[in-house]
Amino acid sequence: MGFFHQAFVITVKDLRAELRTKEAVNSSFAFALVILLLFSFAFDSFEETTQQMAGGLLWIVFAFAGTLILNRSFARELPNDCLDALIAAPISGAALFLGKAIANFVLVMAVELISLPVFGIFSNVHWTRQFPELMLVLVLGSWGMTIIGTIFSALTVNIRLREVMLPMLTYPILIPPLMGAMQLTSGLVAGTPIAPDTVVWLKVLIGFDVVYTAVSLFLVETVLVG
Amino acid sequence: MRDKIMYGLGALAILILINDIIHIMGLPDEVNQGAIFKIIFFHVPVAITALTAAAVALIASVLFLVTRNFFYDALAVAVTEVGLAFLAANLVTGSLWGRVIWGVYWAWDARLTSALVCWLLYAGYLMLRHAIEEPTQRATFAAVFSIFAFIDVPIVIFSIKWWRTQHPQPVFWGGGSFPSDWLPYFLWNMLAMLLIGAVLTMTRLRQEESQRELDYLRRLAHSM
Amino acid sequence: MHLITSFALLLQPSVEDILLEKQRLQHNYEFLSYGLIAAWLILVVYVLMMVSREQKLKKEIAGLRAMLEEKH
Repeated sequence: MGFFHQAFVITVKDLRAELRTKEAVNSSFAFALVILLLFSFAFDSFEETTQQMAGGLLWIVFAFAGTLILNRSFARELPNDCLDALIAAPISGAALFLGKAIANFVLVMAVELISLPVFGIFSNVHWTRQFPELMLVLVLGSWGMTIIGTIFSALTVNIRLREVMLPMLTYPILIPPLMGAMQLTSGLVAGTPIAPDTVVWLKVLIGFDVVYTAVSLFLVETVLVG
Repeated sequence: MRDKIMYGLGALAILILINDIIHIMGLPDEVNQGAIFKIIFFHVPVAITALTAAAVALIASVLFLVTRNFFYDALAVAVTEVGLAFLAANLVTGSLWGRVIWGVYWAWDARLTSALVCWLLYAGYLMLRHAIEEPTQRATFAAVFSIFAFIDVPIVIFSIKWWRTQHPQPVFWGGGSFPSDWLPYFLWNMLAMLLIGAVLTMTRLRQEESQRELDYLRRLAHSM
Repeated sequence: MHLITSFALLLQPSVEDILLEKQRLQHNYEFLSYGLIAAWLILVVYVLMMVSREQKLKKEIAGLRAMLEEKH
């Protein structure tokens, strides 16, 4: 079995486990819905300023809801010592990590894609005007979030206060990609395409994704084996 | 012997500082900003000391992962903690300077914000350490986190700079406004700050060793 | 001639101007001292924290040593 095939097997396994219980996706989506509702109370959706910060609000929702999925990623393997079995399995830590990251990415994207129309309705935003570019930003931002979330999920799986520690550790690191995604999304949902002066944010997103994917794949063996 | 070196270095740093402060007090006010400009003699050296601390923390973390020698782990904690204290001093002086020149304490300016993000990142490092009991696991995970945090620093600085900047450009090179005859005092201050940082790190390092001895004694007491 | 001297008088800073400038500079000094005091305070507090930790560690080590001696 090649590296990517191994990763694929892990992805399928994680997705199947999630589809059977749906606990992470359901709770994450419910949480996203509650935050969107609270935002509608906090900000008047007919005001100009709310439209301008639409991207920021959206990514706050995604970051909060994503954490719930990422928190479960490695914690799900704790009962029955599944995690030890996975580590002892004849696949590399990097393949295990990549597989889990892709599964998380699919779940995070699913929650985001369901929240997006809800957000559009609640906040009175016509978000489909720059659809392909918005999807690109969504994919890049979510991958950055997933890769950091997955490696830190592995770091925090055995420690006290796991649920609190994960967001505390990931959000500061995620500031550059979140900032970039927020800036780009605000423009895109308002209907303006990515211009030469905002393309630097796309570079930040791509750079962040590439660098952290490489570093995570390199260091994950140390994290898993201890 | 080590204690003597430590106390000697500490005394030397304080002497340099006192000498320097007397000289700086005697300097005239800067043309544009007045007296508050002199905060730069403190503000920039603590920032550079904090950055040095972050770099040392990275090197120590990498060395720990390579050698698995717990000395490097202790060094990484010590230097991170000291760096955090210095960065806090940097943030406070910067924000008071902003109060005079910009009229607000916190302007969400690029460097202020990136310094705050760095502070949060390294505070997260210390919290992560607190949450893990088992020493080997703690050291490994903390080292990995330290590497992640250090890689994030330049990305944060770059992206926040693009986001918004009001911070004055560096005044030392490229036709900056820093008076060249003030430079020696600045450099002396910088040396003093680095020395203080080193002494604090050594003290903290020794405490980390005492902590390990304590853990060992506890295990011994427990096993009897 | 008379005009020129009156212009020169106008250009000279008035008493209020000087007072204002003095106030501004003093304000400046006030914040400079706040800044330096706050920054040093942070470092001193950190050192004090370190000293207290040192003492706690020493006490605990001494206590454990004494206990171990007793047991031997």
